Amino acid sequence: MVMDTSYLESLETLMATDETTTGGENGGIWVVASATAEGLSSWSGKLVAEARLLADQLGSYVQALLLGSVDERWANALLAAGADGVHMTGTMIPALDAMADFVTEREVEVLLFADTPLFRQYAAALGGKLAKPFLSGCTALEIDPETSGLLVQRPVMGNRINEMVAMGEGVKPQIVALFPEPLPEPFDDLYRTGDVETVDLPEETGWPWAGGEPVEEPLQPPRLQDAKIVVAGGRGMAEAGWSLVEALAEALGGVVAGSRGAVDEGLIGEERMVDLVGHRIAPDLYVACGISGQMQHNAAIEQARMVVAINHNPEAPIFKVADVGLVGNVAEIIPALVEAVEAKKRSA
Amino acid sequence: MRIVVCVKQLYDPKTARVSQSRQSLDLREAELVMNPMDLPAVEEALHLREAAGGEVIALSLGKPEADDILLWSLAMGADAAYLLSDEKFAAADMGVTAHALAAAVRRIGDVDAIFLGEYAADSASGQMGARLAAMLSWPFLPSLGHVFLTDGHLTGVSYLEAVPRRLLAPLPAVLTVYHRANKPRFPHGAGVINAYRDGKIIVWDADDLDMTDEALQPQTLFRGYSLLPERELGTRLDGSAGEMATELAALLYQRRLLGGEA
Repeated sequence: MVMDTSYLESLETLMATDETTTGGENGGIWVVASATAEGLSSWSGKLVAEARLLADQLGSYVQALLLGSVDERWANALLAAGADGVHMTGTMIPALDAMADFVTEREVEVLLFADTPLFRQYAAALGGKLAKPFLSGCTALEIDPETSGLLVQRPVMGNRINEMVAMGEGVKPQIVALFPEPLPEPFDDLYRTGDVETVDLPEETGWPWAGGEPVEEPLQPPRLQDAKIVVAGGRGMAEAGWSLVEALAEALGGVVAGSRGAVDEGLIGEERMVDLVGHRIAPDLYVACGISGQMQHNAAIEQARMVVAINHNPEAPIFKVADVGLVGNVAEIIPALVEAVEAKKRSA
Repeated sequence: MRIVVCVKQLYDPKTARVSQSRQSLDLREAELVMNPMDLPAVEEALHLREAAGGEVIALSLGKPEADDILLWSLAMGADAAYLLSDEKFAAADMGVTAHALAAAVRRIGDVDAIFLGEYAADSASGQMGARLAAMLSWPFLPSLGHVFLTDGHLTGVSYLEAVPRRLLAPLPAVLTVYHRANKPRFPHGAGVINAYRDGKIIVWDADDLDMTDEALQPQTLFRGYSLLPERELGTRLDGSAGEMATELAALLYQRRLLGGEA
């Protein structure tokens, strides 16, 4: 009887080939992570874990480029989250030219950024420099069965529908920015190991990345019909105090509006009234404080993406059109909410 | 001072319908408008021209009917208008569009600054300004308000991140205008009538821009739409005021609603 040893030979050939097939530093999915002396940014591990899922489908590797802090502890955390290698630099924002060279030399196949305001602009500039595609604002990533490249999902048309976009066949690198907040926390496998190295990337000194002096300048308030976030008060706010509505709007970065009841009470002007005969609005978030929810009001917020209602009356009609309802005293709930929002923003 | 303002025609998202059964967008009753984010860009460019002299040139890539937003730009006060239109642009992605815009800026010549809106209300990509700047190797100033010229440098306040910062760059430069930077003017009736009657729009195609087949080749492919999860109404939170507040804050964070207006 003769044993078939051909699989051994193919195994040997595989092991003899270059580093890319054994977890080396070229090719693969690269994640741009960031840290300070205090620790990793909240999204770094999440992005690495997401890249791990993609790499496992492709039989590829995950490399993390860690910006802002050279510290083994952060590197180990990224390995635990799923990275095969970590490349650390103290540089916060690498010079665009140097980054373009780095990405080309390492033959990066997929370059994954967190979709923060700064990194979105940086990734777009990098895409321009490399003449390669960049897709921003992604909410899900998968592998396209036809091209074996990325297929991304991104909300468009004012967050009312998702478009699916595939990267062209053979395009390298494919640059994407993913919203990290909705991603699950990574599963930390503390037994995972990998290569950790320090890389030398100069800091960008050009515009706009090189800083600038912080200033305060007055701005035009957004128009009610353009606002992404609207906090509205009703008649129920007369007793509790209108300043609570303003404080919540400030914490959420939204604009203040009122129901017909609030206008009748003289709490806010008619130009800020949400009602079928006032403004019909379609914000991403509408918070109704002490608004019972008359039909004229509820019809005017039909197109809102998310409605939160706070009211003491559990039978108030506003709860029927709200995604989330909080029954209770606005004078207690709103200050607690302002505090919770500020705390969440600080920790993010 | 020669300023090019890039403007885009799109379907107003508020007038587009989502067809649940066909899992697609229904644009039959949707209105074609100028990207609302581009109006502050035109306004800021006109402001700067009024302060520093020079001219404002409106530039758009789109179908022939996009002449409408260029006429509107002329009515607002722009001095000239160019439309890049060609069937070869039908599948243009960000890269192809940036190529065409950059080629047009070079052909217009002697351009000191390119102004754009922060993002387009339909695709929400927010990358054209940075991409153009990198392609041209010009400085880039994102989400700028209070723009003015000082000693041959453009300066303004950038509202890109939570803390506004004053930025300064030499000319030529690319900038995006913060959507709350100003109140875009509404042109008076005679201005609109004159622009729509006498306004001249120069139309260039891909050959006029010397675009190669490679430059016209999109690197991303639209594969269709998918629906967002349907809203579930009527959920109530339980617990004390503090507990409900914490739960709601976590939910808003998860849905990307704690970033404020930016």
